[in-house]
Amino acid sequence: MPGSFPRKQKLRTRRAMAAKAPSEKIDQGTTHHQSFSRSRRPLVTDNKARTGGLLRDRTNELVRHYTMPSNGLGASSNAYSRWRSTSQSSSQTESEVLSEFLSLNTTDDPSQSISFDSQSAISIDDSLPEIDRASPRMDDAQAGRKAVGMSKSELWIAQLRKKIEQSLQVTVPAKSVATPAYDLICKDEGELERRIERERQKKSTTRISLPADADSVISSAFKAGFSREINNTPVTAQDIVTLKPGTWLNDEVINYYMQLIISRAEKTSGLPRVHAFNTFFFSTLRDSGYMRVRRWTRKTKLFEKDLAIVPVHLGVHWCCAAIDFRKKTIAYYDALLGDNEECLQLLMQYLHEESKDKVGCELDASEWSMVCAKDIPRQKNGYDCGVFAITFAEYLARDAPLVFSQSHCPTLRRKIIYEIASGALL
Amino acid sequence: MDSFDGNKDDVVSSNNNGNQQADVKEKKPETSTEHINLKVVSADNSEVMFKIKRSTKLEKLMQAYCSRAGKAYGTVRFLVDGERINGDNTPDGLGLEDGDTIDAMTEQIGGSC
Repeated sequence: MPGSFPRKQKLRTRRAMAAKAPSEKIDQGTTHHQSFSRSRRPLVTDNKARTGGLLRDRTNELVRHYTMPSNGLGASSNAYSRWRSTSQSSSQTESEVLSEFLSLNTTDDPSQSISFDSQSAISIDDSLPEIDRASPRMDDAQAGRKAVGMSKSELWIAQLRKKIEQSLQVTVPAKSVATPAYDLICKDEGELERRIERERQKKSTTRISLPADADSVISSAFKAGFSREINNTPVTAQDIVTLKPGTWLNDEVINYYMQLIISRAEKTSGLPRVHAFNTFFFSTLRDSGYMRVRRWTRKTKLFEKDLAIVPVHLGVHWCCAAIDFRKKTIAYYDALLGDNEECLQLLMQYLHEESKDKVGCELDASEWSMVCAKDIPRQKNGYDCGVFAITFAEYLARDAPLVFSQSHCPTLRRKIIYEIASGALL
Repeated sequence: MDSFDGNKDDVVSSNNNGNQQADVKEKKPETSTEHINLKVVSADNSEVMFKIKRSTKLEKLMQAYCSRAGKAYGTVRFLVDGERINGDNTPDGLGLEDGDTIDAMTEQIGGSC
């Protein structure tokens, strides 16, 4: 009675049956199918040694199953019909199948001939050494002699054993193997490689070129007595020195550059209408509150702008925040990828107060989103944050994607000096 | 400080009663004298009051402030309503009124954290 077998053993038997024909022809219900797919990968990927072990294991289980006295012929015929339905092509007739089923090729490799003595089959244990002991290999003559006295069911078992051995040696093409985890890794790695490639291209295609007269203009900016001024915002040779490679930028350079950004936005059509605060705005707002900066925008209609740039000075670090009135976002750009929730909240609060004060209506804070930008060029040293902050501002002021990197900083410093000296952005 | 700020801002925020009262009070001396009082506030909110002629260049005030605060002239950035002023500006030229505030900021530098 099949039901009396332990569950594990039954499962193994089914696996072995399924392994016999690893095609999708199997139609034995969901349980079989699941066990089939679980068993499929090890079968395919195992090396020969392990396959051999599995094979012995499974075939011996089968042998034991179908030669158990309690099992009887009913189980065998049932197994035969299953074997027939799973392993044979539909074009074969019943007689052909049966003849194949009953035929036993005794001229095979002697190593594959196995004793079919029912007594030894029953005594076979699961463990491999014992199997070897219990079923000694025989030569052709012995196998032939034994085969003569075989019953139908024993023949069938021998045949089944052969079929299983054959099917286990079949290498299933890789493409038909479902390997979701491996596929996922491949997909992820592919995405990563594509991203690296994209970044590489960005880097190689982003060339910041300066005009031919750049060298002379830049060197003139370092001479004593050099000074420029826009809207009372001065910059002198002393401040230009802070643009030398490896030095920290000061507020004058950044404030002057903000003036350049404002004047470019005013002069050039097609660019966003930009307002740029000075470097003292944020620290004053933070330290002294809204009332002290309330009048700072009296000449600027802030809410009619597309974008407001806020240079953020944090003790020894320059960052940049941008208030986009079109998208209703406040974004924080830190080249060291730091978070500054306080800055975002302060600016949101500022907008709230400013709207009440200048426009006379409450700002709907729920429409606004705040973000600390992370997918941005990153500073990799301890002195270029000012260059990053300025360049973030300059790119944002013309809605340009932030395609520059740390490697551009020496050139960017020269570009900034050139722009300050020539009084206009490139 | 709010009442002082209100002087020039009556166009934008005239609904503040306190400011209006301040306006009335301040207008009398404004017309009667050629001197005005200006308050210089540093970044740490310390205040220094100055009395200056309307037509005098602010350079004088700046130098006086720097020497008083112990800072080198040229290292302090003076702002009125967030905008930089320079030594050549006069209170009249900037439209400053009595009691107005000048912000005195110090140099900011930064490279990294």
